[in-house]
Amino acid sequence: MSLVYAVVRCHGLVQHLLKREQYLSIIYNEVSLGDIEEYRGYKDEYPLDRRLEIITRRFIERVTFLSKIVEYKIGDFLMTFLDYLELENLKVKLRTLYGKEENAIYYPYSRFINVNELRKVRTDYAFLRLLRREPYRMRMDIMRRILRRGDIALGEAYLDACYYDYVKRIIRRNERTLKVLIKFLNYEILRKLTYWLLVLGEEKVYEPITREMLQGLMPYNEEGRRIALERAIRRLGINIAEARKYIETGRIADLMHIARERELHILQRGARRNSLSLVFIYYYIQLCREEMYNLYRIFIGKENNLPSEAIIGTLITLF
Amino acid sequence: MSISSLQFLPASRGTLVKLRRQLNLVVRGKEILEMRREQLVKELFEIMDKLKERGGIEHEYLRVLEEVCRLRTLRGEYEYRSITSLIEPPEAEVLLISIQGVTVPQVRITRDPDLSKIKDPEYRMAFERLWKVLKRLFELANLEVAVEKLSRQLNYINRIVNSLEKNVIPNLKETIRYVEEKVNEEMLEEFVRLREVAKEV
Repeated sequence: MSLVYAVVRCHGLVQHLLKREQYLSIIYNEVSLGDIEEYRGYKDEYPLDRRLEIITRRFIERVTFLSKIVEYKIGDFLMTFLDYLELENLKVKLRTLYGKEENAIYYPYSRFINVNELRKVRTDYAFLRLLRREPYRMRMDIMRRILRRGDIALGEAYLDACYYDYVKRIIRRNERTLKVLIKFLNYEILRKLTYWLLVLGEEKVYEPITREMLQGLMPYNEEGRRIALERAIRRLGINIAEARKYIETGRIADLMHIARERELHILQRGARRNSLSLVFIYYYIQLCREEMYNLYRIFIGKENNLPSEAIIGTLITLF
Repeated sequence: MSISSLQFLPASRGTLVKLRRQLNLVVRGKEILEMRREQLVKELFEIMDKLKERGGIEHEYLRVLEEVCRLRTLRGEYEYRSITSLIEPPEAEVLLISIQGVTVPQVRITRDPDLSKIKDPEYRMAFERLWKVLKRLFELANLEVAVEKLSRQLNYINRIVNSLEKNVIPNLKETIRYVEEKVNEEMLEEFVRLREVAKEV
Protein backbone atom coordinates (compact mmCIF):
# COMPACT_ATOMS: atom_id res chain seq x y z
CA MET A 1 0.00 0.00 0.00
CA SER A 2 1.05 3.57 -0.48
CA LEU A 3 3.12 5.55 1.97
CA VAL A 4 0.49 8.29 2.10
CA TYR A 5 -2.11 5.77 3.22
CA ALA A 6 0.17 4.61 6.04
CA VAL A 7 0.91 8.19 7.07
CA VAL A 8 -2.79 9.04 7.17
CA ARG A 9 -3.38 5.91 9.26
CA CYS A 10 -0.65 7.10 11.62
CA HIS A 11 -2.37 10.48 11.97
CA GLY A 12 -5.44 8.57 13.13
CA LEU A 13 -3.51 6.15 15.31
CA VAL A 14 -1.70 8.96 17.14
CA GLN A 15 -5.08 9.91 18.58
CA HIS A 16 -5.24 6.50 20.31
CA LEU A 17 -1.98 7.01 22.18
CA LEU A 18 -2.18 7.78 25.87
CA LYS A 19 -2.27 11.43 26.88
CA ARG A 20 -0.61 12.95 29.94
CA GLU A 21 -3.95 13.10 31.80
CA GLN A 22 -4.46 9.40 31.23
CA TYR A 23 -1.01 8.60 32.63
CA LEU A 24 -1.80 10.73 35.68
CA SER A 25 -5.16 8.95 36.15
CA ILE A 26 -3.34 5.60 36.10
CA ILE A 27 -0.72 6.83 38.57
CA TYR A 28 -3.38 8.14 40.96
CA ASN A 29 -5.41 4.89 40.56
CA GLU A 30 -8.37 6.73 39.09
CA VAL A 31 -8.46 4.37 36.12
CA SER A 32 -6.90 1.02 35.38
CA LEU A 33 -4.90 0.54 32.19
CA GLY A 34 -7.34 -2.27 31.38
CA ASP A 35 -10.16 0.29 31.17
CA ILE A 36 -8.47 1.85 28.14
CA GLU A 37 -9.58 0.32 24.85
CA GLU A 38 -6.02 -0.20 23.56
CA TYR A 39 -5.08 -2.37 26.55
CA ARG A 40 -8.23 -4.45 27.05
CA GLY A 41 -6.34 -7.59 28.08
CA TYR A 42 -4.58 -5.86 30.94
CA LYS A 43 -5.54 -6.60 34.53
CA ASP A 44 -4.12 -4.95 37.64
CA GLU A 45 -4.05 -8.30 39.46
CA TYR A 46 -1.46 -9.74 37.09
CA PRO A 47 2.14 -9.95 38.34
CA LEU A 48 4.48 -7.22 37.13
CA ASP A 49 6.20 -9.44 34.52
CA ARG A 50 2.89 -10.30 32.89
CA ARG A 51 1.76 -6.67 32.90
CA LEU A 52 5.00 -5.55 31.27
CA GLU A 53 4.60 -8.31 28.70
CA ILE A 54 1.10 -7.09 27.78
CA ILE A 55 2.40 -3.54 27.31
CA THR A 56 5.31 -4.77 25.16
CA ARG A 57 3.00 -6.92 23.05
CA ARG A 58 0.83 -3.88 22.32
CA PHE A 59 3.90 -2.04 21.02
CA ILE A 60 4.89 -5.06 18.93
CA GLU A 61 1.37 -5.26 17.45
CA ARG A 62 1.42 -1.58 16.52
CA VAL A 63 4.77 -1.75 14.74
CA THR A 64 3.98 -5.06 13.04
CA PHE A 65 0.68 -3.66 11.78
CA LEU A 66 2.38 -0.60 10.30
CA SER A 67 5.20 -2.57 8.74
CA LYS A 68 2.58 -4.66 6.91
CA ILE A 69 0.73 -1.72 5.39
CA VAL A 70 3.82 0.01 3.98
CA GLU A 71 6.00 -1.19 1.15
CA TYR A 72 8.62 -3.84 1.96
CA LYS A 73 11.70 -1.61 2.14
CA ILE A 74 10.02 0.76 4.61
CA GLY A 75 8.49 -2.14 6.53
CA ASP A 76 11.93 -3.67 6.90
CA PHE A 77 13.17 -0.45 8.43
CA LEU A 78 10.19 -0.21 10.78
CA MET A 79 10.85 -3.72 12.00
CA THR A 80 14.24 -2.58 13.25
CA PHE A 81 12.38 -0.93 16.14
CA LEU A 82 11.28 -4.38 17.22
CA ASP A 83 14.67 -5.89 16.47
CA TYR A 84 16.02 -3.61 19.16
CA LEU A 85 13.94 -5.59 21.65
CA GLU A 86 15.64 -8.73 20.40
CA LEU A 87 18.99 -7.05 20.84
CA GLU A 88 18.03 -6.09 24.39
CA ASN A 89 17.27 -9.79 24.95
CA LEU A 90 20.80 -10.60 23.80
CA LYS A 91 22.14 -8.09 26.31
CA VAL A 92 20.08 -9.67 29.07
CA LYS A 93 21.49 -13.07 28.13
CA LEU A 94 25.04 -11.72 28.02
CA ARG A 95 24.61 -10.41 31.57
CA THR A 96 23.00 -13.54 32.90
CA LEU A 97 25.79 -15.67 31.43
CA TYR A 98 28.03 -13.97 33.99
CA GLY A 99 25.35 -13.56 36.62
CA LYS A 100 22.24 -15.53 37.48
CA GLU A 101 19.37 -16.56 35.27
CA GLU A 102 16.59 -16.84 37.91
CA ASN A 103 15.25 -13.30 37.92
CA ALA A 104 15.94 -12.36 34.32
CA ILE A 105 13.03 -11.47 32.08
CA TYR A 106 13.04 -11.23 28.30
CA TYR A 107 11.02 -9.15 25.86
CA PRO A 108 8.35 -11.36 24.29
CA TYR A 109 9.71 -10.88 20.79
CA SER A 110 11.69 -13.07 18.41
CA ARG A 111 12.47 -12.53 14.78
CA PHE A 112 15.87 -14.01 14.15
CA ILE A 113 16.64 -15.60 17.51
CA ASN A 114 13.95 -17.54 19.32
CA VAL A 115 13.54 -16.08 22.77
CA ASN A 116 12.83 -19.50 24.32
CA GLU A 117 16.03 -20.90 22.82
CA LEU A 118 17.90 -17.86 24.07
CA ARG A 119 16.48 -18.34 27.55
CA LYS A 120 17.83 -21.91 27.62
CA VAL A 121 21.38 -20.89 26.68
CA ARG A 122 23.80 -21.56 29.54
CA THR A 123 27.25 -21.43 27.95
CA ASP A 124 29.30 -18.96 25.90
CA TYR A 125 29.53 -21.53 23.12
CA ALA A 126 25.74 -21.95 22.87
CA PHE A 127 25.34 -18.17 22.92
CA LEU A 128 27.81 -17.73 20.06
CA ARG A 129 26.04 -20.42 18.07
CA LEU A 130 22.75 -18.53 18.41
CA LEU A 131 24.38 -15.26 17.40
CA ARG A 132 25.35 -16.78 14.03
CA ARG A 133 21.67 -16.68 13.05
CA GLU A 134 21.13 -12.96 13.42
CA PRO A 135 21.49 -10.37 10.67
CA TYR A 136 23.63 -7.91 12.62
CA ARG A 137 26.82 -9.45 11.19
CA MET A 138 28.53 -9.70 14.51
CA ARG A 139 32.14 -10.77 14.29
CA MET A 140 32.45 -14.03 16.13
CA ASP A 141 36.12 -13.49 16.93
CA ILE A 142 35.28 -10.20 18.66
CA MET A 143 32.37 -11.70 20.54
CA ARG A 144 34.49 -14.69 21.57
CA ARG A 145 37.21 -12.36 22.86
CA ILE A 146 34.66 -10.32 24.83
CA LEU A 147 33.13 -13.45 26.34
CA ARG A 148 36.56 -14.84 27.21
CA ARG A 149 37.47 -11.62 29.03
CA GLY A 150 34.03 -11.36 30.62
CA ASP A 151 33.90 -7.69 29.64
CA ILE A 152 30.12 -7.41 29.73
CA ALA A 153 29.92 -3.63 29.28
CA LEU A 154 32.05 -3.77 26.15
CA GLY A 155 29.93 -6.69 24.93
CA GLU A 156 26.79 -4.63 25.33
CA ALA A 157 28.36 -1.66 23.56
CA TYR A 158 29.37 -3.98 20.72
CA LEU A 159 25.80 -5.32 20.47
CA ASP A 160 24.50 -1.74 20.25
CA ALA A 161 27.12 -0.90 17.60
CA CYS A 162 26.13 -3.97 15.56
CA TYR A 163 22.48 -3.02 15.82
CA TYR A 164 23.04 0.53 14.55
CA ASP A 165 25.28 -0.82 11.81
CA TYR A 166 22.41 -3.07 10.80
CA VAL A 167 19.94 -0.15 10.80
CA LYS A 168 22.36 1.98 8.77
CA ARG A 169 22.78 -0.85 6.27
CA ILE A 170 19.00 -0.96 5.78
CA ILE A 171 18.95 2.82 5.25
CA ARG A 172 21.86 2.62 2.79
CA ARG A 173 20.00 0.00 0.78
CA ASN A 174 17.02 2.36 0.41
CA GLU A 175 18.66 5.71 0.89
CA ARG A 176 16.37 7.56 -1.47
CA THR A 177 13.29 6.65 0.54
CA LEU A 178 14.75 6.62 4.02
CA LYS A 179 17.18 9.55 3.92
CA VAL A 180 14.60 11.86 5.57
CA LEU A 181 15.06 9.83 8.74
CA ILE A 182 18.85 10.04 8.95
CA LYS A 183 18.83 13.25 11.01
CA PHE A 184 16.57 11.68 13.63
CA LEU A 185 18.35 8.36 13.64
CA ASN A 186 21.65 10.20 14.14
CA TYR A 187 20.28 11.85 17.24
CA GLU A 188 19.39 8.44 18.66
CA ILE A 189 22.83 7.06 17.78
CA LEU A 190 24.52 10.09 19.38
CA ARG A 191 22.50 9.50 22.53
CA LYS A 192 23.73 5.91 22.64
CA LEU A 193 27.30 7.00 21.91
CA THR A 194 27.13 9.51 24.77
CA TYR A 195 25.93 6.77 27.10
CA TRP A 196 28.82 4.48 26.18
CA LEU A 197 31.33 7.32 26.37
CA LEU A 198 30.12 7.88 29.92
CA VAL A 199 30.15 4.21 30.89
CA LEU A 200 33.31 2.99 29.16
CA GLY A 201 35.18 6.28 29.07
CA GLU A 202 36.46 8.13 26.02
CA GLU A 203 39.87 6.40 26.04
CA LYS A 204 38.34 2.94 25.90
CA VAL A 205 35.78 3.76 23.20
CA TYR A 206 38.50 5.26 20.97
CA GLU A 207 41.18 2.67 21.71
CA PRO A 208 42.34 1.33 18.28
CA ILE A 209 40.74 -2.11 18.67
CA THR A 210 37.56 -0.97 20.40
CA ARG A 211 37.18 1.93 18.00
CA GLU A 212 36.92 -0.44 15.09
CA MET A 213 34.43 -2.60 16.98
CA LEU A 214 32.21 0.31 17.94
CA GLN A 215 32.03 2.02 14.55
CA GLY A 216 28.28 1.45 14.55
CA LEU A 217 27.93 3.93 17.39
CA MET A 218 29.04 6.76 15.11
CA PRO A 219 26.28 8.71 13.37
CA TYR A 220 25.35 7.87 9.77
CA ASN A 221 28.09 8.84 7.32
CA GLU A 222 30.37 9.91 10.17
CA GLU A 223 32.02 6.53 10.71
CA GLY A 224 35.71 6.80 11.39
CA ARG A 225 35.38 10.14 13.14
CA ARG A 226 36.18 10.71 16.79
CA ILE A 227 33.39 12.49 18.62
CA ALA A 228 34.45 13.58 22.10
CA LEU A 229 32.01 13.40 24.99
CA GLU A 230 31.53 17.15 25.23
CA ARG A 231 30.98 17.42 21.50
CA ALA A 232 28.42 14.60 21.60
CA ILE A 233 26.56 16.29 24.46
CA ARG A 234 26.59 19.60 22.63
CA ARG A 235 25.27 17.95 19.49
CA LEU A 236 22.44 16.51 21.57
CA GLY A 237 21.50 20.12 22.32
CA ILE A 238 22.19 19.82 26.04
CA ASN A 239 23.91 22.59 27.91
CA ILE A 240 27.37 21.35 28.83
CA ALA A 241 27.34 22.91 32.32
CA GLU A 242 24.01 21.24 33.05
CA ALA A 243 25.28 17.92 31.69
CA ARG A 244 28.40 18.19 33.85
CA LYS A 245 26.23 18.40 36.96
CA TYR A 246 24.58 15.13 36.04
CA ILE A 247 27.85 13.46 35.13
CA GLU A 248 29.59 14.50 38.33
CA THR A 249 26.78 13.06 40.44
CA GLY A 250 26.66 9.92 38.30
CA ARG A 251 23.08 10.54 37.16
CA ILE A 252 23.45 9.11 33.66
CA ALA A 253 19.84 7.96 33.43
CA ASP A 254 18.62 11.51 34.08
CA LEU A 255 20.94 12.88 31.41
CA MET A 256 19.71 10.27 28.94
CA HIS A 257 16.15 11.15 29.94
CA ILE A 258 16.74 14.79 29.01
CA ALA A 259 18.34 13.76 25.73
CA ARG A 260 15.40 11.50 24.91
CA GLU A 261 12.95 14.28 25.72
CA ARG A 262 14.83 16.61 23.36
CA GLU A 263 14.97 13.91 20.71
CA LEU A 264 11.20 13.54 20.79
CA HIS A 265 10.65 17.30 20.64
CA ILE A 266 12.94 17.59 17.61
CA LEU A 267 11.10 14.68 16.05
CA GLN A 268 7.74 16.31 16.83
CA ARG A 269 8.83 19.50 15.06
CA GLY A 270 10.07 17.42 12.14
CA ALA A 271 6.81 15.49 11.98
CA ARG A 272 4.79 18.72 11.96
CA ARG A 273 6.86 20.08 9.09
CA ASN A 274 6.69 16.80 7.15
CA SER A 275 3.27 15.65 8.22
CA LEU A 276 2.68 13.63 5.06
CA SER A 277 6.04 11.92 4.86
CA LEU A 278 7.77 8.92 6.36
CA VAL A 279 8.92 11.16 9.23
CA PHE A 280 5.42 11.05 10.62
CA ILE A 281 5.45 7.23 10.69
CA TYR A 282 8.84 7.34 12.41
CA TYR A 283 7.44 9.87 14.88
CA TYR A 284 4.39 7.71 15.56
CA ILE A 285 6.54 4.64 16.26
CA GLN A 286 8.80 6.62 18.56
CA LEU A 287 5.68 7.78 20.42
CA CYS A 288 4.48 4.17 20.69
CA ARG A 289 7.89 3.21 22.04
CA GLU A 290 7.77 6.03 24.56
CA GLU A 291 4.26 5.03 25.60
CA MET A 292 5.58 1.54 26.30
CA TYR A 293 8.46 2.96 28.37
CA ASN A 294 6.14 5.39 30.18
CA LEU A 295 3.83 2.54 31.17
CA TYR A 296 6.84 0.50 32.30
CA ARG A 297 7.93 3.44 34.45
CA ILE A 298 4.48 3.82 35.97
CA PHE A 299 4.06 0.16 36.87
CA ILE A 300 7.63 -0.41 38.03
CA GLY A 301 7.43 2.78 40.08
CA LYS A 302 4.12 1.75 41.63
CA GLU A 303 5.38 -1.77 42.31
CA ASN A 304 8.33 -0.28 44.19
CA ASN A 305 6.16 2.22 46.09
CA LEU A 306 7.82 5.20 44.48
CA PRO A 307 5.94 8.43 45.31
CA SER A 308 3.53 9.53 42.56
CA GLU A 309 5.47 12.78 42.02
CA ALA A 310 8.67 10.81 41.45
CA ILE A 311 6.92 8.56 38.91
CA ILE A 312 5.50 11.58 37.10
CA GLY A 313 9.03 13.01 36.93
CA THR A 314 10.21 9.97 34.99
CA LEU A 315 7.55 10.23 32.27
CA ILE A 316 8.12 11.73 28.84
CA THR A 317 4.94 13.11 27.34
CA LEU A 318 4.45 15.33 24.33
CA PHE A 319 0.70 15.86 24.63
CA MET B 1 18.66 -25.94 101.76
CA SER B 2 15.34 -24.64 100.56
CA ILE B 3 13.58 -21.80 102.36
CA SER B 4 10.49 -23.90 103.19
CA SER B 5 12.62 -26.47 104.98
CA LEU B 6 13.78 -23.87 107.51
CA GLN B 7 10.78 -24.43 109.74
CA PHE B 8 11.78 -28.05 110.28
CA LEU B 9 15.28 -27.23 111.47
CA PRO B 10 16.28 -28.21 115.00
CA ALA B 11 16.82 -25.13 117.14
CA SER B 12 20.45 -25.57 118.03
CA ARG B 13 23.64 -23.51 118.04
CA GLY B 14 24.87 -25.55 115.10
CA THR B 15 21.77 -24.59 113.12
CA LEU B 16 22.22 -20.96 114.07
CA VAL B 17 25.82 -20.93 112.83
CA LYS B 18 24.75 -22.65 109.66
CA LEU B 19 21.91 -20.18 109.12
CA ARG B 20 24.11 -17.15 109.76
CA ARG B 21 26.63 -18.48 107.27
CA GLN B 22 23.80 -18.96 104.78
CA LEU B 23 22.53 -15.43 105.36
CA ASN B 24 26.02 -14.01 104.80
CA LEU B 25 26.29 -15.95 101.57
CA VAL B 26 22.90 -14.75 100.36
CA VAL B 27 23.64 -11.12 101.23
CA ARG B 28 27.00 -11.31 99.47
CA GLY B 29 25.34 -12.95 96.49
CA LYS B 30 22.74 -10.21 96.38
CA GLU B 31 25.43 -7.54 96.49
CA ILE B 32 27.32 -9.20 93.66
CA LEU B 33 24.13 -9.46 91.62
CA GLU B 34 23.39 -5.80 92.27
CA MET B 35 26.87 -4.89 91.08
CA ARG B 36 26.34 -6.99 87.97
CA ARG B 37 22.99 -5.32 87.45
CA GLU B 38 24.67 -1.93 87.56
CA GLN B 39 27.27 -3.05 85.04
CA LEU B 40 24.57 -4.34 82.71
CA VAL B 41 22.57 -1.14 83.03
CA LYS B 42 25.71 0.88 82.22
CA GLU B 43 26.40 -1.32 79.17
CA LEU B 44 22.77 -1.01 78.10
CA PHE B 45 22.85 2.76 78.31
CA GLU B 46 26.02 2.86 76.22
CA ILE B 47 24.38 0.71 73.55
CA MET B 48 21.17 2.73 73.72
CA ASP B 49 23.21 5.86 72.99
CA LYS B 50 24.42 4.27 69.78
CA LEU B 51 20.86 3.22 68.93
CA LYS B 52 19.83 6.86 68.86
CA GLU B 53 21.39 7.00 65.37
CA ARG B 54 18.69 4.64 64.15
CA GLY B 55 16.34 7.38 62.93
CA GLY B 56 19.07 8.95 60.80
CA ILE B 57 20.20 5.62 59.37
CA GLU B 58 16.66 4.56 58.51
CA HIS B 59 16.02 7.90 56.89
CA GLU B 60 19.19 7.49 54.83
CA TYR B 61 18.17 3.93 53.94
CA LEU B 62 14.79 5.08 52.65
CA ARG B 63 16.41 7.86 50.64
CA VAL B 64 18.91 5.50 49.00
CA LEU B 65 16.19 2.92 48.40
CA GLU B 66 14.09 5.55 46.65
CA GLU B 67 17.11 6.45 44.51
CA VAL B 68 17.54 2.81 43.51
CA CYS B 69 13.81 2.47 42.78
CA ARG B 70 13.94 5.60 40.65
CA LEU B 71 16.89 4.18 38.75
CA ARG B 72 14.99 0.92 38.30
CA THR B 73 12.02 2.87 36.98
CA LEU B 74 14.12 4.92 34.55
CA ARG B 75 16.18 2.00 33.24
CA GLY B 76 13.35 -0.52 33.06
CA GLU B 77 12.79 -3.89 34.65
CA TYR B 78 14.43 -5.90 31.84
CA GLU B 79 17.77 -4.14 32.25
CA TYR B 80 17.61 -3.74 36.02
CA ARG B 81 17.02 -7.41 36.77
CA SER B 82 19.79 -8.66 34.53
CA ILE B 83 22.19 -6.01 35.82
CA THR B 84 21.50 -6.98 39.43
CA SER B 85 22.11 -10.62 38.54
CA LEU B 86 25.75 -9.62 37.99
CA ILE B 87 26.21 -8.80 41.66
CA GLU B 88 27.97 -11.42 43.72
CA PRO B 89 25.94 -11.37 46.93
CA PRO B 90 27.59 -10.55 50.25
CA GLU B 91 28.42 -13.25 52.76
CA ALA B 92 27.69 -13.10 56.44
CA GLU B 93 27.91 -15.41 59.43
CA VAL B 94 26.30 -15.45 62.85
CA LEU B 95 28.74 -15.51 65.75
CA LEU B 96 28.01 -15.85 69.44
CA ILE B 97 29.89 -13.22 71.40
CA SER B 98 29.89 -12.40 75.09
CA ILE B 99 28.86 -8.97 76.32
CA GLN B 100 29.26 -8.72 80.11
CA GLY B 101 29.05 -12.48 80.24
CA VAL B 102 25.80 -12.59 78.26
CA THR B 103 25.88 -14.63 75.06
CA VAL B 104 24.66 -12.47 72.17
CA PRO B 105 24.34 -13.62 68.54
CA GLN B 106 25.90 -11.11 66.14
CA VAL B 107 25.92 -10.97 62.35
CA ARG B 108 29.40 -10.48 60.92
CA ILE B 109 29.84 -9.61 57.24
CA THR B 110 32.64 -11.75 55.93
CA ARG B 111 32.51 -10.52 52.33
CA ASP B 112 31.08 -7.37 50.76
CA PRO B 113 29.00 -7.77 47.57
CA ASP B 114 31.15 -7.86 44.46
CA LEU B 115 30.02 -5.14 42.05
CA SER B 116 33.07 -5.38 39.79
CA LYS B 117 31.07 -6.81 36.87
CA ILE B 118 28.84 -3.72 36.78
CA LYS B 119 30.55 -1.05 34.72
CA ASP B 120 27.71 1.47 34.59
CA PRO B 121 28.81 4.11 37.14
CA GLU B 122 25.24 5.03 38.02
CA TYR B 123 24.26 1.49 38.99
CA ARG B 124 27.54 1.01 40.83
CA MET B 125 27.19 4.19 42.83
CA ALA B 126 23.58 3.43 43.72
CA PHE B 127 24.37 -0.12 44.86
CA GLU B 128 27.47 0.97 46.75
CA ARG B 129 25.45 3.58 48.60
CA LEU B 130 22.73 1.02 49.33
CA TRP B 131 25.25 -1.48 50.67
CA LYS B 132 26.89 1.15 52.86
CA VAL B 133 23.57 1.94 54.51
CA LEU B 134 22.64 -1.74 54.75
CA LYS B 135 25.89 -2.41 56.58
CA ARG B 136 25.02 0.26 59.10
CA LEU B 137 21.58 -1.31 59.46
CA PHE B 138 23.24 -4.67 60.18
CA GLU B 139 25.31 -3.04 62.92
CA LEU B 140 22.14 -1.51 64.30
CA ALA B 141 20.41 -4.90 64.25
CA ASN B 142 23.37 -6.37 66.14
CA LEU B 143 23.04 -3.68 68.79
CA GLU B 144 19.30 -4.27 69.04
CA VAL B 145 19.82 -7.98 69.57
CA ALA B 146 22.42 -7.16 72.24
CA VAL B 147 19.95 -4.83 73.96
CA GLU B 148 17.29 -7.53 73.86
CA LYS B 149 19.58 -10.19 75.33
CA LEU B 150 21.04 -7.84 77.97
CA SER B 151 17.56 -6.68 78.95
CA ARG B 152 16.44 -10.26 79.35
CA GLN B 153 19.45 -10.94 81.55
CA LEU B 154 18.79 -7.76 83.52
CA ASN B 155 15.21 -8.81 84.02
CA TYR B 156 16.35 -12.21 85.28
CA ILE B 157 18.86 -10.65 87.71
CA ASN B 158 16.22 -8.23 88.93
CA ARG B 159 13.87 -11.09 89.67
CA ILE B 160 16.56 -12.92 91.65
CA VAL B 161 17.63 -9.80 93.55
CA ASN B 162 14.02 -9.01 94.38
CA SER B 163 13.39 -12.55 95.48
CA LEU B 164 16.51 -12.46 97.69
CA GLU B 165 15.63 -9.06 99.07
CA LYS B 166 11.94 -9.58 99.62
CA ASN B 167 11.76 -13.24 100.39
CA VAL B 168 14.94 -15.20 101.08
CA ILE B 169 16.75 -12.71 103.31
CA PRO B 170 13.71 -11.76 105.48
CA ASN B 171 12.86 -15.47 105.81
CA LEU B 172 16.40 -16.31 106.82
CA LYS B 173 16.51 -13.40 109.25
CA GLU B 174 13.19 -14.47 110.72
CA THR B 175 14.37 -18.06 111.08
CA ILE B 176 17.63 -16.92 112.67
CA ARG B 177 15.67 -14.74 115.08
CA TYR B 178 13.38 -17.66 115.88
CA VAL B 179 16.27 -20.09 116.35
CA GLU B 180 18.14 -17.50 118.44
CA GLU B 181 15.10 -17.08 120.66
CA LYS B 182 14.71 -20.83 120.96
CA VAL B 183 18.40 -21.31 121.77
CA ASN B 184 18.27 -18.47 124.31
CA GLU B 185 15.11 -19.95 125.85
CA GLU B 186 16.77 -23.35 126.03
CA MET B 187 19.89 -21.78 127.56
CA LEU B 188 17.77 -19.93 130.12
CA GLU B 189 15.79 -23.09 130.82
CA GLU B 190 19.04 -25.00 131.31
CA PHE B 191 20.42 -22.26 133.54
CA VAL B 192 17.28 -22.22 135.69
CA ARG B 193 17.26 -26.03 135.82
CA LEU B 194 20.92 -26.09 136.90
CA ARG B 195 20.26 -23.40 139.55
CA GLU B 196 17.31 -25.41 140.95
CA VAL B 197 19.40 -28.56 140.98
CA ALA B 198 22.22 -26.69 142.73
CA LYS B 199 19.76 -25.41 145.39
CA GLU B 200 18.48 -28.91 146.11
CA VAL B 201 21.97 -30.29 146.28
